[in-house]
This record gives sequence, C-alpha cells and structure tokens, in this order.
Amino acid sequence: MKKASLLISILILLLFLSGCWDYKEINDVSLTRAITIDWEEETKEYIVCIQLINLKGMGKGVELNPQIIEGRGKTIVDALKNIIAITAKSSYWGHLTMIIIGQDIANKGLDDLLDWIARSPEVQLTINILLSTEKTAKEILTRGNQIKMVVMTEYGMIKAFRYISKMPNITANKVINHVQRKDLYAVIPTIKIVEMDGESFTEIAGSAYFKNGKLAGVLSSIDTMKFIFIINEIEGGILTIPTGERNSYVTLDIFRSSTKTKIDFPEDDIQITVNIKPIVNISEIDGFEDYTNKKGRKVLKEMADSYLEKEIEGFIEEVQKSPGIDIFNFGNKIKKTHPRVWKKINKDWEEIFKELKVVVNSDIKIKSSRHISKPIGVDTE
Amino acid sequence: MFVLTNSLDENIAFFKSTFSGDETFLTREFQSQNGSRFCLLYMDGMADLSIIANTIIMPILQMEKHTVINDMNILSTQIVSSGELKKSKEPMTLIDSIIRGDAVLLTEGVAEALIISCKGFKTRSIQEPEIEKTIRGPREGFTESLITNLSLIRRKLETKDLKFKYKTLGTKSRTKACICYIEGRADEKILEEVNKRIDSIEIDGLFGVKFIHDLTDDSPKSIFEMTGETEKPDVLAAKLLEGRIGILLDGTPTAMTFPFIFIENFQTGEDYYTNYYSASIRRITRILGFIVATSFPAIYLALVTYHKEALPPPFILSILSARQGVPFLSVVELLLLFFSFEILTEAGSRTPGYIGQSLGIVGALILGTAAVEARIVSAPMIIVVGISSVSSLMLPSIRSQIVILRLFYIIGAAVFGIYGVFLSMTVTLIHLFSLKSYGVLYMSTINSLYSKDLKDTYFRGPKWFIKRKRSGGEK
Repeated sequence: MKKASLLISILILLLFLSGCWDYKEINDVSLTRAITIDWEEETKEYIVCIQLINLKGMGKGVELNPQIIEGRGKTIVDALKNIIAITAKSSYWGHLTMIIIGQDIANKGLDDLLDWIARSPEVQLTINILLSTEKTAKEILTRGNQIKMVVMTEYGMIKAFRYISKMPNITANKVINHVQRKDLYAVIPTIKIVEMDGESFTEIAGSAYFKNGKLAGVLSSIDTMKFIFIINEIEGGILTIPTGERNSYVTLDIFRSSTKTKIDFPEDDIQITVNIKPIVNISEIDGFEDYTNKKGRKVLKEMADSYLEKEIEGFIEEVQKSPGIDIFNFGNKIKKTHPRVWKKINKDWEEIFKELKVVVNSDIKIKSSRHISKPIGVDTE
Repeated sequence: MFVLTNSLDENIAFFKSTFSGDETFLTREFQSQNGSRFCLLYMDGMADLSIIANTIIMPILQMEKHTVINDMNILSTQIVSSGELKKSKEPMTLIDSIIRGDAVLLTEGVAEALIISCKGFKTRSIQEPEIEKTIRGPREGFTESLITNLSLIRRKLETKDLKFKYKTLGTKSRTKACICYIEGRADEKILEEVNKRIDSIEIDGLFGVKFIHDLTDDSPKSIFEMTGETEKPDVLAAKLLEGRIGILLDGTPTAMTFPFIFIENFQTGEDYYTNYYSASIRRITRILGFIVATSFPAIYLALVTYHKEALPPPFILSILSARQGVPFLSVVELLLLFFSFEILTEAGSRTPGYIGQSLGIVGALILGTAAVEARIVSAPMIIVVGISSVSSLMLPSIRSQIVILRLFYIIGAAVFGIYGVFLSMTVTLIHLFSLKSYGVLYMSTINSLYSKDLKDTYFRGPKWFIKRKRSGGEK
C-alpha cells in the first residue's frame, strides 16, 4: 500500500514537471513556414514578414495558398504581435524552416534576433538562418516562386545544397553558440534570387561570416566549398580537376571525405596541418588520356592532390590577408588541444592568425570509374 | 418424510402429488401375464419412448407366467434389457432421476424402485463454432450436451490419465459441471484450489461458464479476465496437455480453461495447423494489432493537438487541409466516430445476416463518405478509427478490454498529450503485471528474453523445437 501510494505520487508529480503545453487544434493556429526580418535604419523599426500557409476551398479541392503578411515594430516580437492582429490566429512556429535576414540587420548585429529564437518555445533550433544578398530579405519571399518556396524550403533547396556541399551546415543553435564566444565565428549561408525564363527562383549563393554578431564579409559559392572542406563537413559534391591537355577536365564525384586538422609547434612557431582524405569516383573524363589504369590513376591522383592543395591553401591565404578573421575556428582547435598555449596567445590571436603557417595535405582515394574504364573519344588521327 | 411402501397405489400417489401441476409428468400402468402390476414414471419429452417400449415394457409383458417378483433383483438382472440401471429407495433420488429424463419403474409389493436410463431429449449436432473457425484444423465444436462434449475430449486424449470429475452447481438449476485435467500434468495445488473455489459457489442457477468465471475469478474487479474460453475440443485437449485445467458445463458449448495467461489471447488453434513461419508472422501481426487498436488513436490525437512539431511538414499540411471546416474538437470527433462504430458493431451482432449487409452499406456510405463530404469529421480521423477498429476485431477474446483501454488512452491524450498516453499505458502495465490467475502470473513469459520461454509466445516455434525445449525444462 505504501509502495503503491509512493508510485502514484511520483506519477502525479511528473505531470507538473513536464513543462507547459496546451491542447490546440491544428486549424486554430496559422502554420508559419518562413520568416524574413529586415531593419529599417530611418524609422528604427523591424520589418518582419511571415509566410503563412492558408488553404483555399474545402473538401477534396483544397489548395495550398501561401500568404505573406508584413508587420512592423520596435522589436521583433512587437512586429509579430502586429501580424497576429491581421491574421487573427496565433502563429505556430514549430514547422518554421528558415529565417531569412536582411543585410541591414546583419550589419546592425544578430543578438536581438538570436535572443528571440532561443527564447521561443516553438522555434526549433535546428532550422537555418540565411542572409539575403538582395537589398532586403522580404524580396526573397515576395519575388520568389511562392508555391515552390512552401514545398521546397526544407526538402528541396537546403537538402540539395547540403548534398553538393555548397552550404555550411550551421543551424540556429550553432549560430547562437558561436556568436556568444570570442574564439568562434559564425558562418551562415546566403540566399539570392535568380531569374530563369521569366520566373524567379531562390538559390543558395554562398556564405557570409560574422564577427561579434556583425556581418564581416561574404564567401562565393566556390570558396564555400573549400571552407566546408576545411571544417570537415563535406557530404558530397564534385571536384573538377584540370588535366594537362587543353581545356579538358576530369570530374571526380566525392563519395565521402574526412578532414583532420593537426597542430604542431616547430621552433616556437605554430603550424596548422590540414589533412584532407576524400574518397571519389571518376564520373567524367574529357580528352583521350586513360586515367583508369594503374598508371593513369597514379597520375590523376597526383594531379588532383596538388590541385586541391593549391586551391585550399590559396583560399586560406586569401582569408588571412583580406578579412584576417579566423573563420575556420583554428583558434578554438588550439584551445581544445593545447589550452596552455592558447592562454598565452589568445589575446594576440588575430595578429597571429594573419601570419599563421597553414599546410594542406590531400590524399585522394579513387574508388571506381563507374560503368566504363577507357574514355570515349573519336580517333582523329 | 415419505418412504417407499409395498403398496403401488400409495407410491404412485406420492409421485403424483410431488409433481402436481406439471403436466409433462406421465405415469404408465401395466400388468404382466401373471397379474403383477407395474408402473413406469417419466417425463414427457425427456425420455425416449422407444427405449421405454423395447427395453422395459416389452420384456415385462412377455416374461414367463411362473416368474415371481419379490424384489427388484430379478427385474434388473433377468428381465429389463436396458444398458444402465440402478436400484434406489430414496424418494429424492428418484425424483431427480425423473427430472433428468430417466424412467422409474415401480411394482406392487416391493418398497424399491428401478431407475432405468432412457434419456432421449434432442441435442444440437456437432458443428463448427462461429468464432473459432479454422481452415486446416479439425472443425468439430462443443455442443450443449455435456456427455457429448466429454466424449469429444476423450477421443482426442485416449489416456487413462485424463480425469473427469463431476460437480453439481446451482441450487435450482442443478447443473452438471465437469472438471477435466490430465493427472501428472496438472498442478496438484491448482487443482485443489479449483475444487475449493467451485465448491464455494453459491448460486441458484447457472447457464454458462461466465457464471463460474465471475464467481471464482482472482481479480473480479479487473477488466482483464483470468480464464480462457474455447468451443473446440482440440484446443481444450492441447491446453489440458500443457497442464491446464478445464471446466465444462452442461447446457453450454463453451469450455473454460485456467490458469490463463495474457499471451493466450494472441494464440489461436489455427497457429498450430499452419507452417510456423506464417503462424509466427500472423501472431506478431495480432500483437501489433493489439497495440494499434489500443493506442494508435490516442497517439494520433496527442500529436495533432499537443505535439504538432513532431509531425513531418507534408503530413501536417494534409491534416490541416482535411480539418478545414470541421466544427468539432479533434477529441470530440474521435469519440463520436468510435461511438458510431460501436453502434454499428453492436447492431451488426444482433441482426440476422441478410440485414447485416445493408448495415455495412449504411456504415461505409453514411458514416464514412457522407460524414467527410459534409465536413463533420475529417478523413484522417476516419482512417485512424478504421484501422484501430479493424485491429480490435482481430482479437475477439479481448475486444471489450481493447475498447476500454482505448477510451482510457484517448482521455489521457486529450488531457495531458503524449505524456497522458504513456502515463495511462504505465498504469495499464503495472496493473497487468500485478495480476495472477490461480497463482500463475498473468504476464508470465512475456517479459522473458530466453528462447526457452519465447518458443511459443511472440512466435510459434516449430514443434520439434518446442518439444525439445520442453523435455529439457521439465522438472
């Protein structure tokens, strides 16, 4: 009896420990799929746009009818409350897939936005924050293809760009974490509009890096892939290696890749070694050279390795020169592996980074050549 | 208290007064060739007239003139040609025999009577039971006649160890019950306990084994039942072989078995007549069906009302479009649909077959299609209720328990979301594991992970495997 009453009281106690949730019918909330946030310097106001999913018709003829509603306010939540006044339904953020921010708010600083995201019980911290490279973030929603945006956002665009490794996988919780710390820099994807046959589509354009929560610069789509190589987040994609012949390339399909960063201290100096180990398939060979036999593969591997090393080393040098910001988070690596060294150098890290010696080693493994071995070509001789 | 006398007329008068007002009580007086008077007492409709004519009246009428009837010995040993008869002086025994359909023979000058077995009432022929239909196994089922049923079991288990023990239950109905078991297999202690419980039954009449179940159950307040029921002799015989004890009752085609454990709800006789791979798959389907039938509606309700973030976006869009314009709360919608389904099943089980078909049309068209078209309920809800209800029909022996559990889980989901579902499931599990059937844990072997215990629970292992493991494990 005593045991039973103890058990019952534990079970009842659990009721109050589980946090607050509420019985809410699905059609009593408005489903929000995307949100854009802009900052207007003149009025000192936030302009928030949300994309709702409304339904047209009843019964079998229900159609998706995305709707964009704009609200203004002194703070983000203030602007959102003004939106509720229009929709007359409370917004539901559980299925939000992306937050698109404008350049102005990126220049002003992300802290207000991140505070709202982290504080909200509904917004999932695994969503992506994207920076619009257009004038405002709102344009992405209003000019882009509406229906496509609704269906595509999560399942199409983001997954596709992750697959070809042209988008850093940095979710809201990572951004929040990185912005709060001095030794970490946040890098988020950028989004732009492309015109095609008179229709507008949205596309991931590259990435943007932040220093102390403020926009510090952008990377192109190609540089983004090199960046992803360094931070070891390659999920796929292709490498086009220029061969000795004129205008011909060998295309390698990345199957898997791993990157290990090593830190050495030769003669009181710091040297970073980035070891890249991609496993690839040969997916296209231009020209006549057969790279599938043992000798050819060796030649191709050497070519690809030196190409990759040169490209990535060049990219790191560029970053060291022009913004001089440690977007690769090498500093954090040193902090983790050699905390004593980091204590000594952390104050001058920005200066040290600019002069840092970085070596890139590539070790490509060619797994297969797909269906055929010898390249197809017309014999002209 | 009346005692039989030498006077035939006095004796007849006693029985006539005992059965006064009962017009089915018949007396037949006749005289042998030497002038002795006889009287036959029996119940119309209970005794077989041709047996009476051929084995009693005819031999007496034809007996030789010099035969002198001083006592019943000569009659019983030399004249009456019935297979079963006994002598008695007790008026109560005689009355009982008459009621049971036997004939009582009285004669002038003897203060004793002869009970001659000539029961001749009509019983149903052996048919295949409706709810335990089988494709490959034996088709015969129990009838309302206890003797017939016992012979069916005896024919399955031709061993001297098979024991039948009679009990008479009910102060007014005087129903014959029979406890059957296999000596050496059935546990002595359980047998003792069964005898004790059966003897303690106090009731005026009982017409089905559920009466016994209600009066002897281990946990009478639990929604789960600690006894099994079957209408098939082969199933009962198999359970007896496993050491279980069966009770049969005269007048009902259902036998009761115990100790009963939870997993037996998922086993059918058919399992053992088909290939063990397909039997195992079907049994797992039944177990999954139980989970779906009890908790699927509650989990769905919790997801759409409390935890929308757990649903994938395309799914939430289709639910959203289906719920467009539906006036009721999801929980009201769900309960309404289940209530109408229960109405349909209840009406279906009470209507004859030819009306049943139109019932199906009403159910499918009016409740299904029309309700969705009219936006009274949403289509996903119909799917949820449909799957859950059909799953519950798969398990007829615990269907009523499933309905109660389902309602319990739905209420849990409506009040506390997914937490409520798991809370109510926990309560159910704690309750299930605390139950005992005649000293045996109701959930025994379910929580075991040894192949020895699992050979015939979630799976139906091949016979050679079951046999080998059993002989190894037996004490």
